[in-house]
Amino acid sequence: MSAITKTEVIATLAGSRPTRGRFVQRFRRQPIAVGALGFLLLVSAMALLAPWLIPHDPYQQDLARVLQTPSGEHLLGTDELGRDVFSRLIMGARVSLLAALQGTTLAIAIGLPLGLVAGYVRGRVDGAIMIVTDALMALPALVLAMAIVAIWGPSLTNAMVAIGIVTAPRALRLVRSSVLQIREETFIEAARSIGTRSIVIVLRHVLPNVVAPLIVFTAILAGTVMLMEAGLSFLGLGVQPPESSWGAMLGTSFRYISRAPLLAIYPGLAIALTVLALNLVGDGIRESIGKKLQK
Amino acid sequence: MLAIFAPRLIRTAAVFVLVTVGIFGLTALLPGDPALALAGENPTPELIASIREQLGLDRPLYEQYFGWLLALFSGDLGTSLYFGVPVGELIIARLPVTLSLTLVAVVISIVLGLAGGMVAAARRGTIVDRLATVLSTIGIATPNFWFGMIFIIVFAFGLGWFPAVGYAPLADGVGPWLAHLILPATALALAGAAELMRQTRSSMTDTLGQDYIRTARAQGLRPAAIYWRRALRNASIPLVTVVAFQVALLLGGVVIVEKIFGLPGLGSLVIDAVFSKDLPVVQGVVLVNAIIVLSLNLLTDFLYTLLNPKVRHG
Amino acid sequence: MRKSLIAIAAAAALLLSGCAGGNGDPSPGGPPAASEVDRDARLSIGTLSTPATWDAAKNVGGPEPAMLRLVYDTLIEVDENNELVGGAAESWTTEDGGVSYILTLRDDIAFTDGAPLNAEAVKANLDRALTLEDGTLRASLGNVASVDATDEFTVTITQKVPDVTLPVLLTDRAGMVMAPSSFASGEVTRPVGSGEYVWVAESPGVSVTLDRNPDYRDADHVLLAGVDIRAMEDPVARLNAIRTKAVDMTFVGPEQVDEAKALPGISSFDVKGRSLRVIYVNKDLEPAFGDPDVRMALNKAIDREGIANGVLFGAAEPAYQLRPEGGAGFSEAFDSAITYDPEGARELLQKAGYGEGLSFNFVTQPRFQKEAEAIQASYSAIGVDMTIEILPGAGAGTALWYDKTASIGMANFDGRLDIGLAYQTFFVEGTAYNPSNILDEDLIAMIGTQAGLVDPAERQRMHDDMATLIATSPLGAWPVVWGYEPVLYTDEVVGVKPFQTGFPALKGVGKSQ
Repeated sequence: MSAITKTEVIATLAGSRPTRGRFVQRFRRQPIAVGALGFLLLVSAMALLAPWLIPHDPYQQDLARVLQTPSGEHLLGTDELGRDVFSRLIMGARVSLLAALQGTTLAIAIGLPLGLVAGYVRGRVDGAIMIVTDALMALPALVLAMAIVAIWGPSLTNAMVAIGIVTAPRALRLVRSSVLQIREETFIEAARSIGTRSIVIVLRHVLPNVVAPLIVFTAILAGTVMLMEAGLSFLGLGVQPPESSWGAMLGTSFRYISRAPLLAIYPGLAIALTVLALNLVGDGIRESIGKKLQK
Repeated sequence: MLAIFAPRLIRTAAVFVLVTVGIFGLTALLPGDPALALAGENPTPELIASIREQLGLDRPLYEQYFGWLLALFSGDLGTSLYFGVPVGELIIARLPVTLSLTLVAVVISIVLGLAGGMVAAARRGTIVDRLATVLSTIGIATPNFWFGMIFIIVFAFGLGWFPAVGYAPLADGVGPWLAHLILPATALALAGAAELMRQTRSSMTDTLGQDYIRTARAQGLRPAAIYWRRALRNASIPLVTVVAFQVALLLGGVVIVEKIFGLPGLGSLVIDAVFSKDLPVVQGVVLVNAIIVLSLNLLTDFLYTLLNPKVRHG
Repeated sequence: MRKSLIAIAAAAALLLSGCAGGNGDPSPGGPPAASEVDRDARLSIGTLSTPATWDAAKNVGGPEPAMLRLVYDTLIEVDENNELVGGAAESWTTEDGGVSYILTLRDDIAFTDGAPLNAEAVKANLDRALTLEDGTLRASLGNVASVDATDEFTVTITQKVPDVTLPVLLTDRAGMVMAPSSFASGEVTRPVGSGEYVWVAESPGVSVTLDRNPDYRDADHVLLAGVDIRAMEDPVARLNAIRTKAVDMTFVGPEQVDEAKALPGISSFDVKGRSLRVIYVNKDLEPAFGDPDVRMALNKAIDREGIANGVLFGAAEPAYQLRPEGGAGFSEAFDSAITYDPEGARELLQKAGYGEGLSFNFVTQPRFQKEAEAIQASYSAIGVDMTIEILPGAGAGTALWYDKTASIGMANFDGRLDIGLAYQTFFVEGTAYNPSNILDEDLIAMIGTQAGLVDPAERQRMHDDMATLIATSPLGAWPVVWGYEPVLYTDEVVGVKPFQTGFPALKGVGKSQ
């Protein structure tokens, strides 16, 4: 160790952070991932601009014209209360995307710091955190979320908090396993050798290298969270009327499945395509971050 | 072997204890008085009080927890507040349905996943491979209950090939049993199949590239022989993990699918129990699920140790 | 004595008479000839659930008594024309204007455990229902002072005040006669009765198997070898089940009616009066609801026709009184001050001082989410801001009636067996369904009086007045729409009669060869 000079150590440390330029280059070379990212941006734009995009008031009922098939006036027909499906689908994007964001953010907010601690500190702290994590993961996620929402009362926020809590263990595990790999790298040893404090090491050197796999994971997680929100809303435990998410629209459509099967197609397709795009983007990012850091 | 295993067993036991605390704590917090549901149309405060006393709801929480835990170890999971019969009975009655569903789903998932993965690995880089990847990503991305609804629309209503609802016990014949399970099982299996296909493809691709395969080729062994013997065996390790993971996931994922297809399994039981605040049933089902998951994890660890010579002798 | 007996019996019968509601396509009248029927056939039916308990004295009612009636005899029965006919009791009479009723039991009934169904058995059942600590019938039997077995086959029930609805009560759980041996130990673990079918096996919440009772008093009239009950909570699932003939007979909800009636080989009849969507309000939690003008305004803002036709696809009717059209107790001569009038509603709100708007949280069951959304839109149009809270299970009822955390909401009402009982349920003081005691003294007086009116015409006139009253100044419970529940059956099922008491009602039903 003494053979390596401080200058060399600092140089090594500098070179240990992933570069952005090569990443973007590699990403751009994957048409599918780029396409998927484009789709996501489109959907997000649609969600943001929703109030200006919708042809009809999504809450306007017309009890005389329920469950109509697509027509000139109603591009995708009307729902069970005579509301314009197309407009509701666009408004639903807002709710679904926002919900996915909430749930994912919470899961990462819980999983990241705990994962960092568990992975870096190890020992009994790690043991304790992992036992709690394993206990949580032994319980069926959806059922657990249902039970939590049943305790607090059905609402979208409660549902997303529940989902965030329930999916946090996965984030924690991912972060922890990344940290476990990274802490064995030489530059970490080097940093320790020059006496850097643990917390600085974690924040300056470990965290940036965790970010890459974490982003990949986050894209996938967002998809999972979206699917879980759809599940809870399907059961009536998520968003409350007259607000609607894609999952809630799917749930309502089940009641009228033989009368108006098309109603089940649109929101389901929307969810599937969005989650698909998230997964493809995640794949794309994974391919782009370079082999060395992928292990 | 036991030396490797003992600490894992102890740890699993610790996790299990934590699980019981969690389950109990969660349901103890479930608000709403089950006594009210049982009290009928015109309850009086005295009536409600007497029901609560019968249900033991007036004892302090920790007493309830230990009472529950003790009963648990003698195999008594409590009595359903709604049905008035032992939870154990309900679970035993419904378990075959969920297990059948899970079993058929796992089989479908393995068949589709392995086949798809092998094809994709064999035709690496071609359009078949690309298509397979896309299909698998779609499979993972789509909510399984949406698949279920589509299947009902197309295969049950439209084509009339399969029934849309209900369950036929195996005792009544394999035909009806399978017919009722095909649609929901396939809906459940697609995500797992997709995941398995990706894993199979990537691990087979890795393995195919390895030296000893090239050696085998050089020795003149036919391609088919190469596949089946070497590649599959080596690829089986991660596969076992994935399969076990999928099974564990399935138990949680069956909930909505069971509801849609009207299957009287543990999933629909627990949904109803959460909605009617039937705490003992919720506790019981979640506990059974946890036991299965933890056992599966142990089993997977065990198999992994068995299959991976490096861990065994290293 | 005989004359008055007949007169009373006729009067009592007429009490519930009236057309059985406009029905769909009931089976051709008259029981099927014995040769048409396959007596070894079993009927498979799809119900909402299996009974939470077979103990009649603990059962909470709703859709469950219909299933209990398959294994138990009731003292009195209701036929498909809503007339009271004899069950375990072949006749009944009151000689003191409805204070006490003397029931003459049949002498040929035995329970499946061999014991005879006699006055002692009936008394044991009723005494238990009256005193059981967690019994659910104590409130409805609250007017019963004593039950005496005056003879081997004669029972006298004495009430505290005159109430002509007692015979009607005896067609439901209060009149179910369980074998005393089945509750000797306190708990009824398996039902033992004297009904058409015997309980054989059960998977709680999933299925029940019943076999024909070979010792039934009219054994020839039991045309099925057995009944297999399958619980399917979702009406969509039940519709799918009958569509694919997985069950022979079931019932569905208004959303499924169009499709159900279009299915080939499926017949149906509507049960009209078992599912009333009612809005409950609590003035203690929301003072605005204490103002009669506000209550009227909120009633006028609801488009009942729109809900019946749009949300419920026409398999429903607007409700202004506590009976659907044609139901027993329905008032023909009726003037409802409640019309769909958003402008008028807005004016009333202004007058009451809520011109700036009103807002509240509305709870309901998942079943009524669509009705709630329609009402939400209607209220929004008159400046009333309503948030909807869908509470699964018994949540809405609990919030409205017990915990009293909800100031307004919608829940189901099964019509009760007699319109007088319906009024009692909603409008007297202290009843759970009137959580903030919104009372009208005149109405309460009329409720008391009508209970003692033996002449059916006189009783109906009083009911007409009561209907007008609640439609002129709405109180704490507002009827909104009646949802029809069509009973569906395949063409193999014969002998179906359009019973309005709920599903399943299988007297006289069989399957053809």
